[in-house]
Amino acid sequence: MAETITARAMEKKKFADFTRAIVDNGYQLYGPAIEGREAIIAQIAEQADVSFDYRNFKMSPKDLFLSQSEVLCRFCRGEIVPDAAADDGRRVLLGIRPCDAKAISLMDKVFLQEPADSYYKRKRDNTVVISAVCSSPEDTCFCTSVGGSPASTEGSDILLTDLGESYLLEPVTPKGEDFLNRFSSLTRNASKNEVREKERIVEEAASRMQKMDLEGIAERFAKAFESDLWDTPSQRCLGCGICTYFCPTCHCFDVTDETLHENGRRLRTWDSCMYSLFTLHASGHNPRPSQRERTRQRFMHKFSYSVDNYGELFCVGCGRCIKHCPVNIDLREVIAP
Amino acid sequence: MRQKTNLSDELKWVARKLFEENRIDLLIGYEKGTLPLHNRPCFVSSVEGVDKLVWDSLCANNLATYLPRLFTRTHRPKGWKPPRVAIVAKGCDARSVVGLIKEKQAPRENIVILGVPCDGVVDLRKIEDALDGACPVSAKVAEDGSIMLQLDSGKSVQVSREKALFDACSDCPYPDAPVFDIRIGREIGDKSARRPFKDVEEFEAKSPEPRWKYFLEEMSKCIRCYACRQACPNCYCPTCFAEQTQPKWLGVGADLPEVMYFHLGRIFHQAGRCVDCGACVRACPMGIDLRIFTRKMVKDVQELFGYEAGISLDEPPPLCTFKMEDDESFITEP
Amino acid sequence: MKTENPQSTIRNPYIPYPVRIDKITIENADRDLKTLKLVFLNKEDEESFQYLPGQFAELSVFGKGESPIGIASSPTEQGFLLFTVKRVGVLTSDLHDSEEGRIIGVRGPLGKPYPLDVMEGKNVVIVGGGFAFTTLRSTIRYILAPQNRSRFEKVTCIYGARSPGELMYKEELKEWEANPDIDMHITVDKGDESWTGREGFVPTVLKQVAPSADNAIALVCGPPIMLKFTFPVLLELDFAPEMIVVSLEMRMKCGIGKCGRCNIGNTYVCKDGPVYTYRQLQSLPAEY
Repeated sequence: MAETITARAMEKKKFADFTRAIVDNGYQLYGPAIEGREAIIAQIAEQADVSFDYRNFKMSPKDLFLSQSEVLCRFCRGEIVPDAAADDGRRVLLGIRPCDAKAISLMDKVFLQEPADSYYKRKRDNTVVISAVCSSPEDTCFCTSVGGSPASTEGSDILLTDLGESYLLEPVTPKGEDFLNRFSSLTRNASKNEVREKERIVEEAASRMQKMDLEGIAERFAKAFESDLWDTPSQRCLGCGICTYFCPTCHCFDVTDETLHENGRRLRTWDSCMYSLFTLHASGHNPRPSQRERTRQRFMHKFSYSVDNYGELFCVGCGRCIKHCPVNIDLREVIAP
Repeated sequence: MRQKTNLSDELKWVARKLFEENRIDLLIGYEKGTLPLHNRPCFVSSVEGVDKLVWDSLCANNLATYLPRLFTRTHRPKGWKPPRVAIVAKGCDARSVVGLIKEKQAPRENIVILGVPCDGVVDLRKIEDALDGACPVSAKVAEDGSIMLQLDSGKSVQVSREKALFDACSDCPYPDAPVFDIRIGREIGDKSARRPFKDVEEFEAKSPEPRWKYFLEEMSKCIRCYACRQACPNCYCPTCFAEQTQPKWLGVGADLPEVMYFHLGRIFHQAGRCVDCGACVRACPMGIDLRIFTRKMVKDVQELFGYEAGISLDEPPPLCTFKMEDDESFITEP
Repeated sequence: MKTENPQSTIRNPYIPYPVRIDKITIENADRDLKTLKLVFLNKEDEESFQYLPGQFAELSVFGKGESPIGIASSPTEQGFLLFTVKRVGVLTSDLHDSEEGRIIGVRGPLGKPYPLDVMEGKNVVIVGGGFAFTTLRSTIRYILAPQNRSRFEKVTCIYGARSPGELMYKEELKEWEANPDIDMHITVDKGDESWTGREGFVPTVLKQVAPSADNAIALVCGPPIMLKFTFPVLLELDFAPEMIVVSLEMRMKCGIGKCGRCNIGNTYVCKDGPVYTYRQLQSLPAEY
């Protein structure tokens, strides 16, 4: 990649012009905002002072593609009524980490496969993803063990690297290329040194993460289905939804109707395979009656079924489930060879 | 010989004895976790697992929350017998166990309460605040109760006990288990004169607008992951009202009205039952101040009925009893 | 089992087609089974709803939700859809309380049908128990249709219910018993004073009838306990595991393999099922 001169660079002092130009071009700009001690992704004003020196966003950006609550349709007296066109408009997602961008590419496999999920697709089509290379992974991070890297490009349209004085901007997709071309007056060709510096940053970050050898985990898990591997984590599991809600690839949802007098809406909301009611039939039968089956389901889905179905692990190593679990269920202990 | 010096060692000694004498099938305690500052629940089912047990101020989880599921009779094979369970219990946890026994969620005869003296557990959020973004790689509790942390930058930091302690712990009226079968270590002593409701009183003194504003602010953080409910020993309903469909009380979305409804329901269901262990707040990934509201319940029940949850096995719960002299002042004309 | 999936033509896969309840038939003595005859409001919706026996659809009532129900009618029956609905939850209770003429929604067809391509040229053994007989009714109707009958060899059907009053589609059962194109064996767990037919559980009757496994395929639909005892009988009769076909019930929401609810192993019942061979089931976790 270093040889191709597709990489652009932007002086940091021009970055405010860049974000202003993005907004002036009619995009909603989502980027890093600091809330208390934590970084979150939020719609930001064009003059916002953007910096990328957070470790990662507290929650993944999946809510921007698969909202926690989303209206599928509205109805009145039992009949569907046209919705005031929920046009999300064009958006730029700035500063998500490559692990979260990769998670979007995994969600694509589920939601864009036929029949495509029209709600997800519209948001995906309308969004330019500019991810920011990760230079300071947390001690719960393990992206390199699950096929990622602090600079992986899957799911991103443009990859940004903070080089201190300047930003390196590498287009990943034609969409990203087009986007950068529109702001070409603010960028210049990146120098070889800049590209080299990025590589150094990435190597440095990668070296700080422990690496597990997960080769063949899908088969290993398939064989372990009836084993005691699940006993310890499931005994401890409280059955809350933190791991699934914080996970950038967990995408299970519920569909329910809500009505007030004659009007109502059909709503899609996040759900979790950790909840006891998730698979409960109306008859009272529950195919996953205890937390053991439910805990196993989550691991099997991410590390075995997804490999069978999509050829990919549905874990990007962001470590959020580890960091936020109230009883310290550490996914790494379960998946480690 | 029974060692008196180290609580973890004493706990192991007792646990070993319980298994060797075949008095229990299972012990719920704590082990060292994978992250610094995280000692975590562990389930020991034989003498072999005893050595991993630890007890110190990093053992924050209320283990009583695991009891109801051990005794539920659904999905059990034929001939199933309820297990005999020993549980490591701080003052608050033991009170939860008592509550569960009174609410028939755990049979008294099957429970061995191992009361541990607790002078407070560490609040991870306070440590994070003190570290201001720095990343600890290891932590240990020093003799004086302060927390020694090794950072990924190579530096080490010490956080004093006072600064690290969970809010509920500094004024805790029951540092020892009020009901127990075996006491580990020495009793800390009676602190029941403490009435730690200063913050609730301050909150009550405010006018409705700022109180409502604070409630809304806190509620708007909720992502409805139900961690508060799942961590709470009192929340054992097989189907929570929030998830019932016949009738359906509230929607499943994370919109503010639904979230408010859920929390109000949960808070009110804590009246006369909450022991203020703080499990809900510690489990909440969004840092919602749930305690100010549950503690209002605790305070009200104390003032109205002179009742504290989980102090004795015999005293009937106030919301399950009626006395002619019961306070009626809270009943208002519609 | 390769059968093309007609659902991919749906634009927004979450929006149901409007249909009118044309007729409601009470199917059983307990009155908790009703068959709804649905008619599309729009001709073009009807045309895009191309289905085969074994597929299901989400019945939708705005304000009450959706429920996945097997399609009981056969594509050879033109102009309407039939769904037999058991009163269990919020939506199904609401459907039961419906009056004829009501407008509801239907979303589908969803899932994979029975393997008609594999069934062609074979003897077909249909084993049904209780209220799960719905998609088997569709199959029988489909096979017995004059344009299709010659595509299949001998058809044997064993159908059982708890009691005579719980047998569904009673008029049709009578018709089929008199029809030489199908060999009917109807049984009830326990008869009443007026019952002159067979008594006994479905697996037992299957054993007595003992259909040959030669060039045969078995379709099985019923409650879990019936399935559990039926599979060994079929295996004993020498049916190969891939020639035993079963339709599973599962809690579902989206119906298109996205919401994750009906996941069994690496399959989704809604899009990879609900029809599985016994061979496939053996390789899946028993989480159904």
